[in-house]
Amino acid sequence: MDWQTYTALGVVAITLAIFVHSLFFKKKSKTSCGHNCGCGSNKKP
Amino acid sequence: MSENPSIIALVGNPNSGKSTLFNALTGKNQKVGNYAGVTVEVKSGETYTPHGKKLQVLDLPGCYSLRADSGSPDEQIALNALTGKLEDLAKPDLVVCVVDASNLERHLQLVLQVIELGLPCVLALNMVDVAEKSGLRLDPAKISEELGIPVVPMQANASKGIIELKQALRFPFPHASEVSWLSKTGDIDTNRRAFIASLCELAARRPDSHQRNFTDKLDSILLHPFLGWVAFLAIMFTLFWAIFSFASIPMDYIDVSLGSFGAWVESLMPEGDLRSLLVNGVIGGVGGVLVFLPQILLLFFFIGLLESSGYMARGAFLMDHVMAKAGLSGKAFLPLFGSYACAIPGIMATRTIDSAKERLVTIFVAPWMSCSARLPVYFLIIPLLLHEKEGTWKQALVLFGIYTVGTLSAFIVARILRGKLGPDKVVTHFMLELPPYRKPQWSYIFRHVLDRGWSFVRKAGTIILGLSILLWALENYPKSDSKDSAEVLAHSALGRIGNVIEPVFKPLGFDGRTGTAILTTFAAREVLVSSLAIIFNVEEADDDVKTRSLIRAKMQTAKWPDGRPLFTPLSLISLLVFFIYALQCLPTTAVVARESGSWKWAAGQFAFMSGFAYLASLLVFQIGSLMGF
Repeated sequence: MDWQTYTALGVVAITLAIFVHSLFFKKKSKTSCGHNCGCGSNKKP
Repeated sequence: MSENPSIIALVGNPNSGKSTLFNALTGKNQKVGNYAGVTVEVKSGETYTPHGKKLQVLDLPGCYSLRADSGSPDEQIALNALTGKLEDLAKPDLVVCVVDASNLERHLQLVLQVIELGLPCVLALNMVDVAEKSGLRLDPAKISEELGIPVVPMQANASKGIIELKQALRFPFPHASEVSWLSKTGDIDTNRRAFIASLCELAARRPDSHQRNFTDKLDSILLHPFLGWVAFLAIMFTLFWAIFSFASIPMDYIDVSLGSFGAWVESLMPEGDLRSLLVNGVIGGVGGVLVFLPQILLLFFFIGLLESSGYMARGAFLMDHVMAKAGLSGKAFLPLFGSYACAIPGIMATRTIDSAKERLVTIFVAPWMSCSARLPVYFLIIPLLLHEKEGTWKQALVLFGIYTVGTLSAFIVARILRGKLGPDKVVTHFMLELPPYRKPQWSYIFRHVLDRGWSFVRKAGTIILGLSILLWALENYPKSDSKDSAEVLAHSALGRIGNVIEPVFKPLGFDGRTGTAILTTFAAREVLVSSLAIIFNVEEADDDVKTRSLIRAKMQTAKWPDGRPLFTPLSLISLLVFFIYALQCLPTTAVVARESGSWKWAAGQFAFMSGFAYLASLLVFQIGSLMGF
């Protein structure tokens, strides 16, 4: 494997890590839907 | 005195000029109009009173009322913001109710509800120029006296009345003195309407209420039972034609530029995985999506134009009874129509639909309105099916048929799904304001277009970039020693998956190679063309038409191991049917998850559409085979 392969695999690994993190570990506020839509705490008053 | 700036909230019906006033007060570029695609968010900015006091200005979503039981996110957010129930936002110290002076009867409904909340309130009597032109005689002093709140006549789009409004923003501000309509017995809505009627009789008189103005005259044509439809179809056809024909020039330019950029990067680096990742994965993948930017910009330009001129509301009004056949209201028309260009802005435009269930149903079926990303696939397959060169009228007819099948299927599923979801807990009526026709506000339309364009580019630079990188890895690893790109793909993870799933695709008339190509399209369907080019060893030409022609030539000679032709008319129809129904667009799924607030809903939609595509394709191929085709 040459330096290009190592770098390419590194980019793929980082991308995968970001996807996994955003899918499973993204924190959201307990009182809102977490999508920055302004829906606020009292979605169902 | 608190160090925090006092908070003023702008409230008003859609099309009241609320965002224009927000921009005039804060110097920000919030887009104007509320019909479609406008963010359901609370926008915030800052301004100063004539005495130098800093104020925080909130631009609340446009809404028609403030019902606590409303299903509309616009109304919910507006009500929560006014009552101090929004996270990180304090209750406003003062509310500025923005009304269209030429349509006071309608707009005052919301003003009365704000006053009922007990919040200090100022009435911004906007668009007085339009009202005066229509012959309305306004008496702001009388309106102020009757409502018990200050009234500032203004023309926000010309920055007239802004200083007067700022002078009226005094703190602390007294509450409205008396709410006379609440003290009466009977239904609150009836009392409000009676109060507004008497107020307008006193302070917003029309000398000759029967005199037809310009809007009335134009509406007599554009809302005519027959001429209205002719005009509607002509406008929609022109819009469609313009999107497809005008966009092709910048699209070709982007395509060529990206090709040159890829070639330049290729010339800078020695052959290797990183170069392949950059050229084929990043530039090829992101570029394949960025190429649709002109169509998206044009779509939003026309949406802004129709909305700003006042025609959009007429279109929704005309389409209401057509959409009712699918269990939807006229408000679903624009999101579904917009989905013909791209499902992503179409789905985002569902935010203005009041009924939550109707909004979900519209989001669910929107991807079946054939989007522009399907066109390269159709352009590849249809000429092969008809044994013709690209661009004949027969092909246009088949293309029209494909659009019709997708649209009818969407309507039927919407109807069924709407029935299954049951009626709303709160009955929402299709209430639509028909604003007077106005000269489009070009600066705001262009800002709106740029805003949307930037949002799309940002998505291409994040989600699509990530998916392109991962897809490239699946196509290239594990590595093969072969130099043949078809063998490299067959040896890769994606190729192996294709072989494993060949038994799944075989009943549809496809072999493992076609199955692999289909697998690559689940991130973005237009990838089919380049995947087939790789699989059938076609060197991609500079010209898309030439590339497609080369691929078709290879597809025509492709065979099963037993020597039968791989692509028969039946298997091509099966492939077309699969592409009509399959949801092969991960960015759309991500947007559905965000808009519906549920990954389950997005996953359900993906599973349903993929399953439906598979079954429809299976039925077409198997029944066709039984009939001897």
